[in-house]
Amino acid sequence: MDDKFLRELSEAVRPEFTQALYARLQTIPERRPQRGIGPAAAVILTVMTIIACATPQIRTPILEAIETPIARVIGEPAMAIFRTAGNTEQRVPLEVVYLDIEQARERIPFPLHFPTWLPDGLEPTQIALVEPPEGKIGMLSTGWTKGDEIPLRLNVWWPAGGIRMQVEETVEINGQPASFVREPGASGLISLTWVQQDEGTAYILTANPERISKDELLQIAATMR
Amino acid sequence: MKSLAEIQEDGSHATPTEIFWAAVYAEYLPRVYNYFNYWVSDAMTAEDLTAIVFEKAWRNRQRYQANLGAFSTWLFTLARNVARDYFRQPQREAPLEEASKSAAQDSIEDVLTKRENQARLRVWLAQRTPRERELITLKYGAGLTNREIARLTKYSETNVGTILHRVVGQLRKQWEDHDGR
Repeated sequence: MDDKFLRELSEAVRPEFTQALYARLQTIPERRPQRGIGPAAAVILTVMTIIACATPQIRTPILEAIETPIARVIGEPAMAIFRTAGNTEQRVPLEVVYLDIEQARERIPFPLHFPTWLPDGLEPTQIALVEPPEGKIGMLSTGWTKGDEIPLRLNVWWPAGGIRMQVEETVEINGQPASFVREPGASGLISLTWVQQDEGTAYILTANPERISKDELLQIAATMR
Repeated sequence: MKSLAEIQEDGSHATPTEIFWAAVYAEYLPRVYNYFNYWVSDAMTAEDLTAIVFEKAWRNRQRYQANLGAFSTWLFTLARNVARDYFRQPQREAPLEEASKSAAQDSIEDVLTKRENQARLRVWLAQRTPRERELITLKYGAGLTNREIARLTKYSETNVGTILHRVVGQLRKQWEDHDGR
């Protein structure tokens, strides 16, 4: 059915809005999931009581430290602002297009490596592509669903110099060093990051360890061609 | 080009959550924005409502990350609630209608520009039932699949497909009839 006319109302988001909203999000503290009171909560309550009783001069810096958002997304996402290695900033407007893999491969300036093996039951989703203006950072993002979940995501960034990853364990993916990270805390997400040296692209595979094991994640990465 | 080792030596870091949210922001901001853009007739309001959704999502990101569930379902549930809250305010009902009527008057002059095409579509969408309009909005504004829409609205996927097929057919006929005048 020809339904192209119904997309007439779709419009690009203003880059200024994208950047301003992201900057505002950085100032919003994360709301912690509520759990029953255990030993850790008891300690927190004690600390909060001390804070509440403290003088403003002491209380303010303590609260500021506690309320600093843990998730400090790389630079500013949506390619709006990226902090590079030299701590300079690259600003890129947000323009996302949604493609299938063949369309994506036609539009990017490097050979896109994709898994040739996946655990059973994973279905691919669309690819979101942000094509960078000259000299800026681009991003390609996609995921695989299983039922109601997205247990696996692939993000590709280029040029790779804009990506900075923490290192927990170094592993080898197709002859190249890769960083394996298991995030502490409630999410527990696991990820592999490596740089395709010959292409100057950074690949990040992120998985829910309840659905995809570390071994499976390594296997998926190893089959990327 | 920097090597991974050089990148690691920068001393800064990004966690999987950070990477996940960077991707989510890039991918879903336009979808949420256009979800509201199909409901309201001015970009500023669409931006304001989009901001509310992302602020809610951002505050609760740890709750979502805990199970890495269907992100679009979670995010658009927030968006639907924000839309309901917006239109629940009495003064919000009339402006939508008035905006549509105003846009319709403008569109008489020239049906060839995108702005006027939009005006036509807004008028026609405003004439649909709330359910039909929401399905169109989720499909073409938010870019969701029928399966995602079904999950979100609790209609069956078949029902979503049937309604959309019928409504899109009727709208297309309106579109073609108008073009053919």
